[in-house]
Amino acid sequence: MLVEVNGLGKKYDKKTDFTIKDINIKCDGGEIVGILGHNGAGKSTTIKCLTAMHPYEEGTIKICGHDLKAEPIEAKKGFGYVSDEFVLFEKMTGYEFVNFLADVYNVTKEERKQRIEHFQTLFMLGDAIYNPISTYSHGMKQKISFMAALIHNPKVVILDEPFIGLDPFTMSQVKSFFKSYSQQGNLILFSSHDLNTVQHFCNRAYIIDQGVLLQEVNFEEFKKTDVDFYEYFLSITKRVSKS
Amino acid sequence: MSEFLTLFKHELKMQFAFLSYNKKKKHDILGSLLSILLTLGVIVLIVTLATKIANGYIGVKVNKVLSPNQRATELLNIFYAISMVMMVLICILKMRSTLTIQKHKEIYLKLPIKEQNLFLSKLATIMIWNFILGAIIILPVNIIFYIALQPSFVFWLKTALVLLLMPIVVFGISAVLILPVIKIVEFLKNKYWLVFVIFTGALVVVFLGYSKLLQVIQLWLETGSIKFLFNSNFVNGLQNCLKWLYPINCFANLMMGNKIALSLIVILLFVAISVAISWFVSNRLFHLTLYKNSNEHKTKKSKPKYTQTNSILSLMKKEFICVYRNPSHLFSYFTIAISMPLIVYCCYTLFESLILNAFGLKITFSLALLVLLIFSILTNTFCATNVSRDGLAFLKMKSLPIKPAKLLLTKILFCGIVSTLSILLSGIILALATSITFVDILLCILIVVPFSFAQIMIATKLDLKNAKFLSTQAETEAINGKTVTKVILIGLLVALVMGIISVVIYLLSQGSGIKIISNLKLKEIYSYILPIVICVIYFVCAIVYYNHKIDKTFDNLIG
Repeated sequence: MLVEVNGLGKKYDKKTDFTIKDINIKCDGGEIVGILGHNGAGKSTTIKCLTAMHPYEEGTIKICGHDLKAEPIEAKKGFGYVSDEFVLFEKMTGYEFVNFLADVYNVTKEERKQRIEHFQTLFMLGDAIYNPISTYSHGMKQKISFMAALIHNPKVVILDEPFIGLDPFTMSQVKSFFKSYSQQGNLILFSSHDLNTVQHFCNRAYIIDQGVLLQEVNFEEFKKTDVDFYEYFLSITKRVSKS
Repeated sequence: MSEFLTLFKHELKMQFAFLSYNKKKKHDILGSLLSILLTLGVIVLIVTLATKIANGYIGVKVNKVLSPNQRATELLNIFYAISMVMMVLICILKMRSTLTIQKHKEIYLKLPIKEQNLFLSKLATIMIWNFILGAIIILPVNIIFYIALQPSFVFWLKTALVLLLMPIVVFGISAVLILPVIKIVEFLKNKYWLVFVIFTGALVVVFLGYSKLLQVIQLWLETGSIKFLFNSNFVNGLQNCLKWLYPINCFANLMMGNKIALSLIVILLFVAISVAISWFVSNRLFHLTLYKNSNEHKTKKSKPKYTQTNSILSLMKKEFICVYRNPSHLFSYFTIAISMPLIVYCCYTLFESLILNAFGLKITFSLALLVLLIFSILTNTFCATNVSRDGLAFLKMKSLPIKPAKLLLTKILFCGIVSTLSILLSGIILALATSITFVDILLCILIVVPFSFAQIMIATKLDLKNAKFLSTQAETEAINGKTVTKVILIGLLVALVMGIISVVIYLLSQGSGIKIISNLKLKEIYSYILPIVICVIYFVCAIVYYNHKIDKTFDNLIG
């Protein structure tokens, strides 16, 4: 298993209740897995625990077989992460930022040259990559975040609400890239509240609501039923549409 | 009208947000108190000095004739000129931030509001800002003159007129000057090296001017008279300059009751021209900025080569870039660090001569140590934002395969290198330009460098423990100000204990008549040993504090 989460529980304040509780996720290479939920359901908290950005109180997380608490460096080497806020060092140029991360992941000169040039073409960044990030639009920052997350060719790519703000053409290119990337034996794990994207892009999805994992959906199996996914999602999250 | 009022109220709230008190927010009460005390101290000092200078200047005789009214008018001219320069500088900054940066223009552009109302609301806010600024700067000047000259009630009516008209003229002058300022700012954009040179040059000039002023004050204190500066040649030269200094001389004449009608006409003429210019320039700037794409950027022609660097070096390079390319950080760190040797030298020589005159003693080692310690604290204040200045990007670093100790070490090393270079340079200059021996300077450096590293470690750990990350850099810096205050206070306390103990022991051992320590035959050793011991204790404490649960603190940081 590339990602193995057992009984994950996280509370932000000792006095308050758990924000997420007893989350169990198992994903392997070759898959695209979505974490689905309403706003505030606990998707981002789960992702932030998975990427070591937030500490967690209960359970275990293993990435590429390495426990995130016991072997944090090895576990972190296994994934690339794109956050929902596209937080970057704004004074660096896009190239400098990607190159900085390549240094951190110890990517060789030849590999980084080949990957940067490939992504430059794929995301149609052109020479704008040499401009300071502070001058970038939202979409540009997103593309640089993708490049930075993929520079070390990780087995696991974790994305938090990755497609917001991308133009349709880039979105379709990004999606097809990630599809082919997963077919090479890698795992794409991402959070979203966009049912349509998850349904058509993922092999499987975990539905989270109010910090609890409600359901695991296998879309290959699900398509065989005549159930509308939108209605199904609302029914299990107990928020049936008024219409 | 209601749309204008809504926008105006919103603009006022934004511009004067620093005055609002939010009970829910954690306030840096200690920091605010220190700032208020410092500001009050500066005001009292300026008013006292200004009153003394005024009294001294009014008593100057030209061709053996005493002319208090003439001297008072000249003096008021000088005070108004200084006030107006300050007001113009602040007004240019305000105009730039309000009219040419326009933080929330994307939101405004989407709303069904008239552009003209938005423009008027911004213009009105700048004007109100100018009136308040005028009252803060001009009123104390007039109060000083009222106390010194005891004029009639009409003086206050004329003051009201000056407070009303001068801000309008200031707006007009600022509107003319903002155009080259914008051009210069555009030219300097991304020319970080040039910005650094300009900042350093400006700071050096300001400091040299300041030290010259201190020398004058020192001479004044020693001789008890200011007439060595204000002689008839000086007054004649000044009179020649002032007669061309429109409209400042008209304001001064109006206040002093000289050529009232002519002065008023000239002032009103200036006001009319100012209104026209400020309206035209502001309108143009506002509309140009409103539809300008702020993300436009010229792409570099030369492309960098692909290189692979060790991760520690790469992290340090990132630190350097983030400081070097941010003008505010560049100034508060690199410029201060590079200017420190000059500041240290000036303060050292000034204090040395003050102590020599007061006690008849020449202190070298203890004084150099005290000055170096205090200014290393000043440089290292910047390190209190080592974590928080990265903002949310620091949290992103938690997902990277870097050990917390390594990540923080690069920050400490980066600051340590800058600080050490600054201390070394200061030491070399002191050794070359003063009478202090090389051995003493070496010892000073050996004490101050570890002290500086200890200070950086404490600052970094404090910031790691308390860092809060908000959406904008300004908000993040404001909320993390508490750490800066703590770091300064801790450092100052230790530096003063070390430096002052050393100075006092030296004074006690050398002072005429006291000679308490000299009887112990350890006078020299005491003034060396005690600071070394305190420094070692402080350094060890800093290491222990820094390493205590560092990984857990790093893991628990969620901003």
